[in-house]
Amino acid sequence: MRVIIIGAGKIGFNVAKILVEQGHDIVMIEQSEERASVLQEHLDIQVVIGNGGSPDLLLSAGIKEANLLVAVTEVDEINMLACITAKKYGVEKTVARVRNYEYVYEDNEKSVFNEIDLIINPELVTAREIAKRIDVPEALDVLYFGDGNIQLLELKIIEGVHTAGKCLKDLNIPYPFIIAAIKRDGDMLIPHGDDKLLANDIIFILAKTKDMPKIERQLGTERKKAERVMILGGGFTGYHLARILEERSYNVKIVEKEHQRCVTLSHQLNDTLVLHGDGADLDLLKAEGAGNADVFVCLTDDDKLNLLVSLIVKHLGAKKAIAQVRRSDYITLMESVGIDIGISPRTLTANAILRFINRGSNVVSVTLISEERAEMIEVLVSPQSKIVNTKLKDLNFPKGAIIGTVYRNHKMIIPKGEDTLKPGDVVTVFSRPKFSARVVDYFV
Amino acid sequence: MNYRNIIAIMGVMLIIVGISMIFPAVWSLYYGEDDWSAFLLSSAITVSAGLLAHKATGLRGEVQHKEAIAVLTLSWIAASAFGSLPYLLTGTFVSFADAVFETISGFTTTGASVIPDVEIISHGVLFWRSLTLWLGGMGIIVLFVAVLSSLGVNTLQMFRAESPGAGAEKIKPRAGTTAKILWFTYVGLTVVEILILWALGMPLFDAFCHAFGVIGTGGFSTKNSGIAYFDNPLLHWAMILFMFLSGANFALHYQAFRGKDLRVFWKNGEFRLYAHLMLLFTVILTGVVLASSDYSFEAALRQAAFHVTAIMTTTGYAISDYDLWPYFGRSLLVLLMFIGSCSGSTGGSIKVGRLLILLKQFRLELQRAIHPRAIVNAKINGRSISSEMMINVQQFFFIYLSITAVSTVIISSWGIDLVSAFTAAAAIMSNVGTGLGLVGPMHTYDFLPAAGKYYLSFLMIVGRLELYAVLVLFLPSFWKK
Amino acid sequence: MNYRNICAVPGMVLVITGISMLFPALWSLYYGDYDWPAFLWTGGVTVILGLTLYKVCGITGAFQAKEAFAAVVLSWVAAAGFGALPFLLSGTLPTFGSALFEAMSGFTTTGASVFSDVEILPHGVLFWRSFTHWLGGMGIIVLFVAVLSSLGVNALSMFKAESPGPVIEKITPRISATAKILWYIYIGMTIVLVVILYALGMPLFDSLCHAFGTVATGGFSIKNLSIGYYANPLIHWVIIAFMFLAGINFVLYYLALKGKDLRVFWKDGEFRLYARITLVFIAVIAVTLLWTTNYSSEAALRHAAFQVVSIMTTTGYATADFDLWTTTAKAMLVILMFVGGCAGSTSGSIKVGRMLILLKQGYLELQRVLHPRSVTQIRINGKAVRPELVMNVQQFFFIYVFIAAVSVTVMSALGLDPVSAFTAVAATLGNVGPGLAEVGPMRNYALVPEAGKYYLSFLMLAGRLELYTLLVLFLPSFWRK
Repeated sequence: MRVIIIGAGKIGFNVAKILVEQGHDIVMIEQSEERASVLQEHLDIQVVIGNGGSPDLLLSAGIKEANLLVAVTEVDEINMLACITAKKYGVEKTVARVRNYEYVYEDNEKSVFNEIDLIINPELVTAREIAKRIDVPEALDVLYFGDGNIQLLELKIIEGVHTAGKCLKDLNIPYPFIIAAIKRDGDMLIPHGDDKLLANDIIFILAKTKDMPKIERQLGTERKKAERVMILGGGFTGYHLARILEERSYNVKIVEKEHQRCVTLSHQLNDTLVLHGDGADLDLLKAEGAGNADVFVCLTDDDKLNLLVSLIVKHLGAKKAIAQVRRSDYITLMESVGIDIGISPRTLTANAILRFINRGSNVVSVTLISEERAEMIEVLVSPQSKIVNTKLKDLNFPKGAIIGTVYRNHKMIIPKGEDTLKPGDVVTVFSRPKFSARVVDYFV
Repeated sequence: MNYRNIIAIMGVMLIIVGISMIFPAVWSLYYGEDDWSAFLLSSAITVSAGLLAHKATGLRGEVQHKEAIAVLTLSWIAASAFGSLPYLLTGTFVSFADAVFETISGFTTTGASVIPDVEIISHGVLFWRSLTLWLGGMGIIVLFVAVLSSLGVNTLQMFRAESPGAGAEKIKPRAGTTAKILWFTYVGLTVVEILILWALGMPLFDAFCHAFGVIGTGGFSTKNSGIAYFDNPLLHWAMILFMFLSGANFALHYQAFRGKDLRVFWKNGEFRLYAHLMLLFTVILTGVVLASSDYSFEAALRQAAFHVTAIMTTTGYAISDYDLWPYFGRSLLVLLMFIGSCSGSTGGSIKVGRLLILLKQFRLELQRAIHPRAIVNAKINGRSISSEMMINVQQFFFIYLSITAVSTVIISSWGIDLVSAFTAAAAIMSNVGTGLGLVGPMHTYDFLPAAGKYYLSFLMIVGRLELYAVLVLFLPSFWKK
Repeated sequence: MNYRNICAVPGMVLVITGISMLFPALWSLYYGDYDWPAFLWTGGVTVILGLTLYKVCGITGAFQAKEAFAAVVLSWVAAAGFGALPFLLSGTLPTFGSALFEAMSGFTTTGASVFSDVEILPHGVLFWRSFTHWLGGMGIIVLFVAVLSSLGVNALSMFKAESPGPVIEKITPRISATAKILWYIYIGMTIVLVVILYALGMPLFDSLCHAFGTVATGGFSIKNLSIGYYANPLIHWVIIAFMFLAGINFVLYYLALKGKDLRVFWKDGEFRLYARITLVFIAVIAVTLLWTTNYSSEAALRHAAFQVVSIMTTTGYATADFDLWTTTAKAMLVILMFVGGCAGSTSGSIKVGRMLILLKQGYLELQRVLHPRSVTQIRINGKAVRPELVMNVQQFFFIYVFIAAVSVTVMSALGLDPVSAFTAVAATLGNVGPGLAEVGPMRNYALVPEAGKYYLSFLMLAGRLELYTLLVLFLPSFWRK
C-alpha cells in the first residue's frame, strides 16, 4: 500500500514508523527541510518538501498511485483541503487531523465533506482515553473487544499481594481468563503455566468485562470506583474530558488559569465546577481539596507544570495522578517518579489513526499497547482460512503471538490446545508488531 | 559611475610613477651612460599626463565602491603603460608587447622577464626594472590594507591587523594612517637589507636592485645567472632571511616592532603555518638535493631553503637551475607556487591564510560526515569564520585553479609542451615568475608571441589583485548605471 | 561502533563477488582455456568465507553513520582483494600489487591496466576484468541493497556512503525499490548495447565485454588498440552515444520513462551543462585535429567526440593515441579528467553537478563584490541551494585537488616524470584510466613500481567513494567510542 502522510510531527512520525514496519511504502510531505533530513535519517521513506495543500506537490508525491492519505499538520484547514484534493485523485481512504470541533457535526464527529473518511481530534481522543482509565482506575491500560464484552487490562502486581510468587497454573480463579503477556524489566514475555508472577510485574489480562472486577479481587488488586475527579487545565482536552465525565455522573472540578476561558467553560458545561486559578498555587489546591480527589488529571500544555502538580497532589493525598505529556519518551521516566499514568496525546492519536488504517475486511481492530511493543489484533475467522477446524496446538502459531479469546455467538471462550476455530469467530491475538502481518494471514 | 573620479585618481598614480623615473636617470648619469635623457623624457611625459588628467577632471565628491574597484585595475594598467616608456625610449625593447610585459611583470612583482641577456642592459634600465618591483610591492601593501580589504574584494580581511577602515563602502581617510605605518616598515626593511647586502660585498647598485627585488618579492636580477652570480653563502642566507620576512604579513612586522615583542608572529595562525610549511619543504628538498647531487650538507640545505623561500614567497630568484632536480623536487616546488606567502605581504598566489582556512574546513567537513547534525565552525586566531567568508575563500580556490587550467590550454596553443605551459600559467598567476621547462629559472618569456605576452600580462594583474577586483570588471552589470 | 554490522556487509558482498566468478569460468570452459580452475577455486573460497562472515556476524540493530562508512569501505576493499585472486591464480599477473591494481581498477570502473598485451590473455580473465567494471559501475552496495530489501534505513546510509553525490534523490519510498530501478535501467542499457554491437558485427564475447566497459564507464578493452581495433565507424559512434548516456544521471531515465517525457533531460541544469561542455570540447578538439592531422572531417569529428566523451565520462576507451595530439588538445583532455560525468551516473571524478554549483557560486561571488550587502543564494533547477551544500561542494573540490597535488608529488618521488605522474593521478582519482606519456592510452601502468600500484589503487577507491567515505576512516575520532 502506498501512503502519503502530510506533516512530520510526532503523530506523522509515529504513524510512518509503524506503517513502514508493516511493509507499506510511505511518502511524507513536510515543510521544514531540517525535519525532513531527520526523517530521512531514521525512516526508509521518501520525503517531499513543501506545503501539503498544494496539488502540484501532491502530484509529485505520487498522489495518483496512493491508497491512503493521512493529513496531520498543525493546520486543520490544510489537512481538510489535502484530503478533499486526494479524493479527487482517487485515493481510497483519507484521514485528517482536525482540532477545532466547530468544523465537525457535534453529534457524529463527521465533516460536511464526505471526502474525509476519518476526522481525528487529538484532544477528544485523549479525553476519551483518560475517561476510560478513570473508569478502571487501578489499570494502566484498558481495551475492549467483542462489542465491549471482553476487556483487556494492563495491571501491576503490587508488592506483598498473595498472588506474587505463584505459578500461573496455581492461581485457581473460578472465572475464565487468560494472562496474555507479562512485562518484566521492560521485556515482554508470553507466559506458560509454569511461569511465576512476581511483584512489580505488569500483566495483560483478558476476561469478560463483567467478570473482571472479581478476577481482580482474586489477584489482589481491588477495584475502587472513583468519584471525585479534578482536572487542571481547561483547554480542549479538559473540556472534552469534563463533558464525558459529567455524563457518567462523576463529581468534576476543573481549574483554569485564564478567566475568559473559565467563563466560556462554565457556559458549555453543566455540572462541572469551574475554578479560576493557577495550577501551581498550593493554597488553591489545598482549599479545593485536591488531596481528596480520587483522580487528579493534569492537562496543561506545559509538561513540567503537569509533572510538578502531579507530584504535589500525590503528596497532598490524591489517590491517582494522570498527567498529559507532550514528549512520549518521558512517560517511562515520569511513571517511575510516582505519577500513575502518563498520557501522550500524540501517541494516542497515532494509535487511533493506525486502528483505522489497519481495519480491513477481516481485521476488526489493531491496537498498539505498551509503547508500541505489542499489538492486540481482533480478527474475524473467514471460512476459507486454513486453520478452520484445526486444533490450536497443531496450528504452528508464531512464537511471538498468542491467541487470547474467541468470541463466538456473543459468548467468550478461552481456547485450549484441543479447541478448534470456526468460521465467524472473532479472535483476539496478542502479538509482537513484526508478527502481526503473519498472524492476520492465519485467519484469512 | 563617475569616470572623472577614476581618471583623477589615475592621474595621481601617474605623477608618482613619473617622479620615480628620475631615480634611474640619476644612476644613469652616475655610470656615465647616455640614456638618462630617455628617463627624464618619459618622466616628463608621465608627470604631465598625470597632471593633466588630475587637473582636467578633479575629484568630485567621495569615491564610491564601484569606482574604487575600477581604479584598482585601471591604475595598474595606466602605470604599466606609462612605465613602459623608458624601455621604449631607451631602445631596450622594440615591440610594445615586450615593454608592457616587462613593466607589468615589475609592477605586479612577478619578475618574469623577456630580456634574454640582462648584462648588456644599461644601469638605468636595470634600476628601473627593480624599482617597478619595489613600487608595485609597496602599492600592494598599501592597497591590501587600505583599499582591497575595505571593499570586501580581498577575502582575508581577518588577517589584516587593526586597520581602521574596515567594512566601509568608501575609502576612509584614516586608512591613510595605517598605510603610512606600513610604508615605514616597508622602507625600513629595504634599507636594512641594502646595508646588509652591501656589507656582504655586493656592489651598492646590485644591492639596491636585489633588495628591491627581495622586499617586493619580485625576482628581477641584474645578472643572467641570477643570485648564483654572487658566490657567497652568507649573501644567500641573508636573502633567504629577507625573502622569508617579506613573505610575512607586514602588519605583524609593525606590531612586533612597536610592541618590541616577537611573540606576535608565533601567535598568528597564518604565520605559524607559513613557517611550518617552509621548514617542512626545506627539509624534504634538502634530502632530495643531497640524494641526487654531491653537494655538501650546508650547500644542499642552502639550495633547498633558497628555492623553497624564493618560490613560496613568489619572489622567483634562483641560485641554481632547479629544473635539473629530480621530478620529486620539481613537483614540490610547483606545489609551493600554489601556496604563496602570507596575506598582507608583497607575495602573491593563493596565500597561506586561505590554505589555513581550507585545511581547517577540511577537517570539519569530515567530522560533519560522521556527525550529520553537527553545527561546526572553523576558527582562526580564536575568531570564528563566517560562512560567507568560508564560501568566498573556497570559491577563490576554485576560480584560481579554473583560471590556471584555462590559461594552460591557452598558453599551450602557442605550441609549448604541457609542463612549460602549466608552470608558466602557475608562475604568472602566482606572481612567482619562473616555472619549469621553457620558462625555467635559466630561461625567459622572450619566445612567446605578442598575443601570449599580452595574455600573460593580463594574468599577472588578475593574480596580483586577487582575482575578484579584475574579474568583476567583466560583469556587464558593473558598467551599468 | 558495532563491529558485527561492519563485518556482515562485506560478508554479503563477498558472496556476490564469489558467485560472479562463475561467469568467467563458464566462458573459459566454453573457449577451452586454462584459467577456469582459478575462477572456480577463488569463487568457492570467496562464497564460503563471505557466507561464514555473514552468518557469524549478522546484522543487528540500526547502523550508525560511522558504521555505514566503515562497512562500505571494507566491502570494496574485500571485493577488490578477493577479485584480485583469479589474476594471481591463473598466473596472468605475478604480484599481488599488480593483481590488486587490476581488480581495483575494474571495480572502481577506472580501466587502468597493468597488462601490456591483453590479446594473449585467456577469455576467463578478460571477461572477469570487464565484469568487475559492470559490478562496480552501479555499485556493489546498491546491488546488495536491491537484493536484500529488509535493510531499511540502514541501506540508505550505506547507499549514501557509496555514492554520496551532491544530490541523492530517493525516487521511490523504499530505498530497495530505488536500488532495483537503478539496476533495471543499468541492465536494460547494457542489453541494448550488446545487441547493437553484435548486430554491427562485433563478436558476442567482445560485445559483452565492451558493453560492460561502456555502460559502467570503465574502459578495460580486450584489444591492445582498445576500440581503435574495430575499424567500423558505426561501432565508434554507438559507443560514443552509450558512453554519453552512461554519464547521465540515472534518475533522469527513471523520470523520463515514468513521465514518458524526454524534456526532463533538458530541464535538468546539470544535464544541460554536461551536454554543452561535451559539445564545446568536441568542437575545439575536432578543429585542432583538422589543422594538425590529415583526418577527414568525419574522422576528425569522430575521434574528437570519442576521446572527449570517453574522458569526460571517465570511461577511458580510445580510438586514437591522443598522446600524439597537440598540447592544446591534451591539456583540454586533462581538464576533462577533472570534470567527469553527471552525479548519479556511473562515472567518476568531480562531476558536472558540482561544477555547476561552483560556477554559479563564482558568478554570485563577483556580484557580491559589487553589492557587498546583498543577500543571495544560487539556484539549481529552480531550487535554492543551501550554503552548507555549497561549502560542502567547494570543500570537495579543494580536497580533490589537494589529494591530487599531494599524490603527484608521491608519484614523482617514485620516479614518474611530471606529465605521467600528474595524469596518472588525475586518471586514477577520477576513475578515468589512461593518462598521458608513460600512462597514455596505448600504454599501461605496468611500469609503475609496486608501491605506486598500491597507492594508485587507494586513489581509485578514494575517487570512486567520493573521498569523504574513505577519508573519515583516517579521523582519530572515528574510531573512538
